[in-house]
Amino acid sequence: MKISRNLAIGFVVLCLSCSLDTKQKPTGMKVELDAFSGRPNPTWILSSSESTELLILLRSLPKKDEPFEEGGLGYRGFVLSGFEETENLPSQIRVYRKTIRMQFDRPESFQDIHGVERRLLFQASQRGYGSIVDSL
Amino acid sequence: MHAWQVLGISPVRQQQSIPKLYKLNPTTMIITLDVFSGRPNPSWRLSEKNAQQLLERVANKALAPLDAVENTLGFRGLTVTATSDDQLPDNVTDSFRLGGSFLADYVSPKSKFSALSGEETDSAVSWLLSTGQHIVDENVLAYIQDTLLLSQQGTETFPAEPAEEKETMEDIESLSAAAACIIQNTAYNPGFWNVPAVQPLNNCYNYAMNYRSNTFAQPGRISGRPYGGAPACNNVGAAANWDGCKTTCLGSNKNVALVIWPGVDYHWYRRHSAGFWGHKPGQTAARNTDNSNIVINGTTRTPQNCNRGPYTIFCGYRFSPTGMKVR
Repeated sequence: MKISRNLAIGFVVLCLSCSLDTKQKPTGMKVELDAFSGRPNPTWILSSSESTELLILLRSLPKKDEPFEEGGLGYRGFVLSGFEETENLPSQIRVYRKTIRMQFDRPESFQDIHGVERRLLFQASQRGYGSIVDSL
Repeated sequence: MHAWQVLGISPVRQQQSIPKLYKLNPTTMIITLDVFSGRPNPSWRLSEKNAQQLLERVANKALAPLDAVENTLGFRGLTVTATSDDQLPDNVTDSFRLGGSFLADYVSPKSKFSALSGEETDSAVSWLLSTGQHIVDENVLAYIQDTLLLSQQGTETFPAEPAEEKETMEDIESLSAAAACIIQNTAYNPGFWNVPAVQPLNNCYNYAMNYRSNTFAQPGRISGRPYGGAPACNNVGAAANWDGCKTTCLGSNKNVALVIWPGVDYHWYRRHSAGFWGHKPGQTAARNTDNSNIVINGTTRTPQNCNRGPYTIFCGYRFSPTGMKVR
């Protein structure tokens, strides 16, 4: 009885650990903080949980008619790439000033009503790019 | 043997026979011997006396512009550049060319003055070369002598030369190898950079130095001296200097400017032939406007005072040699 209880506890711990590993496992999704002119922009790869969260935030966005701003010197938003084919997203997504631009057959802009940019700015701070983000 | 002897010019100090028509600042005239292909052409500054003598030689003559030359290998003539035009006679341009072969389709500009004859040109060239004997290699002078002799079609002697005084030590010091500064800014051509195969692979440094490496070039990388630490004026500027960039103008250059986002990044601008400035912020499109979308026109708006976003430190203007490469 005691043995089977210990086995059960071990199994639960193992499953939890599997689950945590899956959440922290990096995916192919890449974020580029587009801010530099001379140096290469900072980039990072999203973990599984971060990717999942971001993909949810990118769903059901209302379209926006205004043209997407390119930006000049300094912060120009984020570039997301490395999506799975099954996600039906373009190869690259730009996020800047509460607008999300997806390049399908032609570029389409969407309103960032779910706070994708805010979430990415938070990630940038977490990864040591606070000085860049703080200067915005 | 002195160069002026090689060129058949009398070393005897003679009485100044030509009246002094113009009063010049001694630093106003720079001569460049247009002869090399890979090395920088030798340049020197004329003394006040010689500058005056040159002006007397070319006064009331139609002079060829700097670009009126055939781009052949070897001797292409001498260029004369005044560093300021405020003391030049009205009928003398602030830069002109003496000697060399004209382009086949060259048409001399309309002028009430006649052009220098072949003899007058050769004489002026020979005399000017004698003023640069401390700069120009003797073998090069000998080669030019042969070239001039050939162009004279068998004439074995040079025409009589005006008085030539041996330079005093003071004069020689003032002739210290000052090299001509030629600004050759090019036309604004954003179409070259703003295409998918080029735009994301080239940055502000590529654009400013006008060299598409497709490597997102970094100062100092091509010379093996990349900058270290956080970007600042001194380390980024020094790394660019290793690549060939200069704080002083020497030879043929384009105007560039360096600015810094303190501790974070650097940015470069390049001036174009129309006078305004262009730049390429990172992977974005090349443009000639600042962060306020106002043209950096080079007069009221410059890299120093335009809206640069977080690039708040202006390091200064610099010179990028024509043909400079980056990686």
